[in-house]
Amino acid sequence: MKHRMRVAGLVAATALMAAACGSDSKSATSSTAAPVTTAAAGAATTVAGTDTTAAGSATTAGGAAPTSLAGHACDGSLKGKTVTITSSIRDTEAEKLVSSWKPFEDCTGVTIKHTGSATFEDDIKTSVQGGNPPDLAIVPQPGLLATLVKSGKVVARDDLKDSVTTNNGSSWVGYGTVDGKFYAPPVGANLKSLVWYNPALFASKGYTIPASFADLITLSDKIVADGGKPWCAGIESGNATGWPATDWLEEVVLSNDGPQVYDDWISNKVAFNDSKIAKDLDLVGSILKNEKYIYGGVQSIATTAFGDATIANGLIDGKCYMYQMANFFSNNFPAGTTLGPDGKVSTFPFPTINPANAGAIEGGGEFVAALRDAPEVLAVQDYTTSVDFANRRAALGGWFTSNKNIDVSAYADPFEKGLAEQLKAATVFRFDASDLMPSAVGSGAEWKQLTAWITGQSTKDTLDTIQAAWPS
Amino acid sequence: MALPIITPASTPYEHLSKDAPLGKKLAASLSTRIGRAAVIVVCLLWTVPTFGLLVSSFRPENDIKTTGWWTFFTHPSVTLQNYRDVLSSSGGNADNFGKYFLNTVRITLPATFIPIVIAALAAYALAWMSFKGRDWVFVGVVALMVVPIQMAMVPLLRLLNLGGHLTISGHTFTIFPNFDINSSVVSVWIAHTCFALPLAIFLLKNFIQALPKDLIEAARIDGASHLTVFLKVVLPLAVPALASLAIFQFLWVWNDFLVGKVFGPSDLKPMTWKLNDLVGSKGQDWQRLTAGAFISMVVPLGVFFSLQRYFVRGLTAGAVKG
Repeated sequence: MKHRMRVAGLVAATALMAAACGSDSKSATSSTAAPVTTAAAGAATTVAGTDTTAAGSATTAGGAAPTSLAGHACDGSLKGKTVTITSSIRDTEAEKLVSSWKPFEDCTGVTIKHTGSATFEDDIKTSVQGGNPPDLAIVPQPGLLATLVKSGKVVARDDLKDSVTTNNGSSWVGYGTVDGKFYAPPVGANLKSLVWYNPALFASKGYTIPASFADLITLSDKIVADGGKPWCAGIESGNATGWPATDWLEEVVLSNDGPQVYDDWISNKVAFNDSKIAKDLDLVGSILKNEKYIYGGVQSIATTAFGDATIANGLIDGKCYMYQMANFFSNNFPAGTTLGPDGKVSTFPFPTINPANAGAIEGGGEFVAALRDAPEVLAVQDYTTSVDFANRRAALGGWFTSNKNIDVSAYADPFEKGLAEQLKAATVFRFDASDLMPSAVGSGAEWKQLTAWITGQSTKDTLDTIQAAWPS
Repeated sequence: MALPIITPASTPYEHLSKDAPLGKKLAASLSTRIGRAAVIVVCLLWTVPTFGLLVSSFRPENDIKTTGWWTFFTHPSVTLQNYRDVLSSSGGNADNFGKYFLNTVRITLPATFIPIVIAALAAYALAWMSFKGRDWVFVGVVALMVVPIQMAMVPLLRLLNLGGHLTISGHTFTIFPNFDINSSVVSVWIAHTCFALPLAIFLLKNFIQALPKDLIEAARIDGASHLTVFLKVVLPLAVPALASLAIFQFLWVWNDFLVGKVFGPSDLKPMTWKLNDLVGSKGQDWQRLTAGAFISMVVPLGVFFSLQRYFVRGLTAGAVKG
């Protein structure tokens, strides 16, 4: 009896598993028409087959076969070599990234294997310590880059300094430099000093884009008087809850006190609990902690995800009028939402507080670091930071670069074209301060304390606690 | 691990005195009508979130993101889009969920089988072979159960990738060879085996030790070697314990995220890892999790329902029938 039951059980389990596997692989092969086991082949087919926009622009960007790319001759000399890349980039963005490498693979014969991970920042540390690092890592924080460099595994690329200076500007050389040596050239960038709004709604209500911070407050009050809620806000982001609040503070510090104070603040020459920073945080509070301004109430900010659908839909439906967030928020709108001044949603630059600092922009970026010293690895690194790559990636949309030599018409979207012009016009560009501060502060105390500040903690307590966390 | 004590349901409890043990009183109170109703209510409450997830997995993206799953009953709209997203090749990272489903199968089956084989052999040796220091070996194994796997991860990863080398006054001794298996699924099997063995040996040793001494001694007197005793006498009797251990290990490995993520090579990561990635770079596609979670639950549910009997019996039944 017992024996029979066991056999029956095992048969049932096997059948279930077989059924599940069977249906999976069937649906997979029918839609890709390519063997699912090879990641690279699958990726290429996907972009060409199902994502029509990607396929369309890929063919236009392809053109005639180039003879060399990023200084590497198209002679198939790297055939048989494989380069592994890890990053925090996943999903459709990863598909676009992979297809942007395709011409270089065709050109040199190298095979590029990309893995995006939701927990990239932890994974990269574990794999470097554990002795199986990827060949290249796309690192979004200079602070993390410094940590990796300390492991001794990152290959110095002082030979790329000149091209990065011409393409991106000398400040970008600085972000990829650790202890005087240049390690990581930039790949992508993002603009943070932006406010999302709904152009059609603004026009119908007769609201104009605020030119100064005072105008912004006037506009907010006007919206309240008209019975609306001027602001959406959300700072929840899992382990990283609080980072959108750091962007708010950074933009106000940069625009109010200027780049010099901003830089001194990063190096802690201006202490975190300095009266200037306290004044700036109170300015942030005049919006974020104003119960009348916030859609859903101030208490909802800490529990609303920064990319939450209520915010994206709130802007579209007019439940709130403005949302301060970087350009990558464009990925969070429902499919088919048009961006730009003529679209459903658009951005305006974060209004200037102190006219002396007009045109200052805060942004962030990603850097590609090599963890294995081999010709094929460095070649892929060269291409990833090149103008060729930037043009191609920009054509696929949803991406932005600090590369000034990019063909601006390559941007598929008028929205990103506008941002590119905005970046070109910027008088001052500063990198996200919290990404440059020591991680105990920039991705620790500051996130936690600003979250507590939103939910009611005083400005003084908040800044004192953050300053106390500064490693001496 | 606490072993649940199941008392035959036919035992009448009504006459139990006030001094009856707490367990029996509890069992008695559960067999009343109110008790049963309470159990059913608790079970329903327990199932509600899973049920909500199931309902959500069939709702359109915009509905999931704007309203709760219960509004489905007043405004029903059904779609298979989430399942299509997850299973099709445009799902994410230019790879489909099906491939990772197979990865998980590839990881789980050996990572269940290997530790059980080793643990059964070790348990037999620790229970029925007398050698010097046997008890200390067992104490050592049990002591290893308290080591958190998070602490052992990076050292094990280093050992597998770089080997163990000791340099004393200029001479390098290789204590552990450099297997360089970082692009193979074998490292995941080894990691799971290492982390599973202490508990498995502990459970099986206790079970195998409790087998009647007469049986094993009789077999030994008849001239059976240790291997014969193990294969012909101990193994058949230990099937319930092996089965329950197999279920535990299977479910643990199937649901494992951390070990697979850390040890798995990039294209052999388990399904749980993919599940974590389905949400997209900016968390914008979390509606896919509903369908992904259900696909990943199918096999464990199947295993549990079909082997449920062993789950309970393996922990409670005696090995020898009268």
